[in-house]
Amino acid sequence: MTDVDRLFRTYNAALVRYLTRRLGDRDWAEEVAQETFVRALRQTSIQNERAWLFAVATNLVRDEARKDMRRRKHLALLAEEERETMVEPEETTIERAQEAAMARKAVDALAERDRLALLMREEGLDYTEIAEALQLSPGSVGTTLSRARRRLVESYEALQKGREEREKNAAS
Amino acid sequence: MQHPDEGTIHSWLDGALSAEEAAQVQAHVADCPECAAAVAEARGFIAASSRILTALDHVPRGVVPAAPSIKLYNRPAWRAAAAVLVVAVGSLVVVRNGDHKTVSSPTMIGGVNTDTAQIVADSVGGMRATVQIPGASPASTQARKPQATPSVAMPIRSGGTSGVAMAGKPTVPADFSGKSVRGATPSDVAARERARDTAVDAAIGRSVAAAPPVSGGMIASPQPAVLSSVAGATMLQSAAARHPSLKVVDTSRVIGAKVTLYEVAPGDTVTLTETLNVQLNAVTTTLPAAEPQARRAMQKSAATAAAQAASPSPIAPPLRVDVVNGVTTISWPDATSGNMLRLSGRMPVERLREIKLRIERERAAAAAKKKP
Repeated sequence: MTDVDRLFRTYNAALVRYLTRRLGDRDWAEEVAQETFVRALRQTSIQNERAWLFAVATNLVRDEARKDMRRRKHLALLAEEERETMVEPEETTIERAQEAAMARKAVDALAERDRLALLMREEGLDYTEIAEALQLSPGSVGTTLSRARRRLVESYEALQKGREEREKNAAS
Repeated sequence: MQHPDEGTIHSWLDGALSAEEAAQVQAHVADCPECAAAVAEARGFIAASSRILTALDHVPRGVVPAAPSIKLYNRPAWRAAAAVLVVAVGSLVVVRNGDHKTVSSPTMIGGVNTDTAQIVADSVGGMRATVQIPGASPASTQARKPQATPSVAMPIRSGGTSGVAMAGKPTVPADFSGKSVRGATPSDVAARERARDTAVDAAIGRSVAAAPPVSGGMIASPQPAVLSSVAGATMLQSAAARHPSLKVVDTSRVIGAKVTLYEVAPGDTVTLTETLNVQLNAVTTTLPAAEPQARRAMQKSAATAAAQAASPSPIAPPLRVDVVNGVTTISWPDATSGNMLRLSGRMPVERLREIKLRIERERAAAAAKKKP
């Protein structure tokens, strides 16, 4: 049996961060991470722990997303609407919230595989682990990552430019 | 070796190439300015995407709904005019027939104290919500500046990715200076990324230097600053709510009634209709929407008129409440003149009652002035 305590202590933070970035929802991310560790508990042996955990978490997200895609879409829409009428009492400055919104948009604009590879890389997974978790050939990870990074930065900068122009127009 | 492609450059920077491949790329990049520029660009992308992704970590919890936006002048004059007309027509019916069926009739005397208390609490709550938005955001933005700066610095955490790679390949002549061969784009990103680093460094330095005077100069911690300014404004506002001025916007006379339009808040009006003691034998209305209602009211009140006429309490005049299409109307006989008074507005009945008390106070004051 796998030593789940150790696994949890070692990987939970990275896994939750990865899932939060992937899902945009901290509570959901924590839920999926927990489920991932529960699955690990049932495994007799795991070869590459980190790759396994990230792969299972990714699949859990995917399965769940497939299961009730429509419901989620609806909820996301509601959440979006609600977000427009929400203010955060503390922590967030307007600029920071805007940055987060643009980052979310830019990340969402990526192809799923590019996005996952990039998010995993950010959590320190090496190319072999990413290839294993996403079932890619190790040789294609570099290409995937370079494409993901370029697109992410380009679409973020486009959003930024659009915002600056809007602000300029609003000011004049 | 031919020029390495972008994927290979990223693999190299991420430390994912074998020692042999890495050495080849390194040797090539050292001699090829074009590829050196591509490497600089890739570094820029790696750092920038790390920074962008960090922004996703701030997922808010415990958000609260915003107060409804303050609608200034959202009620055009025609709407008020229409309300006046509707009320006027309704009042004519009252003159003729007494009154029609009521929804509830709590007594005024019993309700006075609690009503007032509710209104004060209500308006304090309402005002606080109104104030918090303009009050909180500039104050918190200002107060949080010292804290916000480190958060800008955080994204330069790309050590996990590019840092490792860079440590492994220190000999690469990293071209950050912008004298790139490939044109503006690659160096653009890298240069910007670098400029950002410098700016952040500078910002950190500045904020460290500036932090004590800033926080000391304002208030020790940002949170109380926000709260106290909000609380202060709230108190002011609630004080104003307790002694508000009722602004008469318009008065007009229709047959058998005097109609006064009060503005209780910007864009918020109530209509007071005082029906004078005249008897009408026929009512003609030209308002299509109001007509059937008026007729129905007449029929109903004809049936109940006798019963109601028999039991008007002199101590606790009955207060009638009607809600039609979001417009609340309360009506009661005036204690001194015996005229029927009607107050309508687009607001809850509690609020109308409070306004009613204010109007009565003002009328009493006006009457007292006239007498001596």
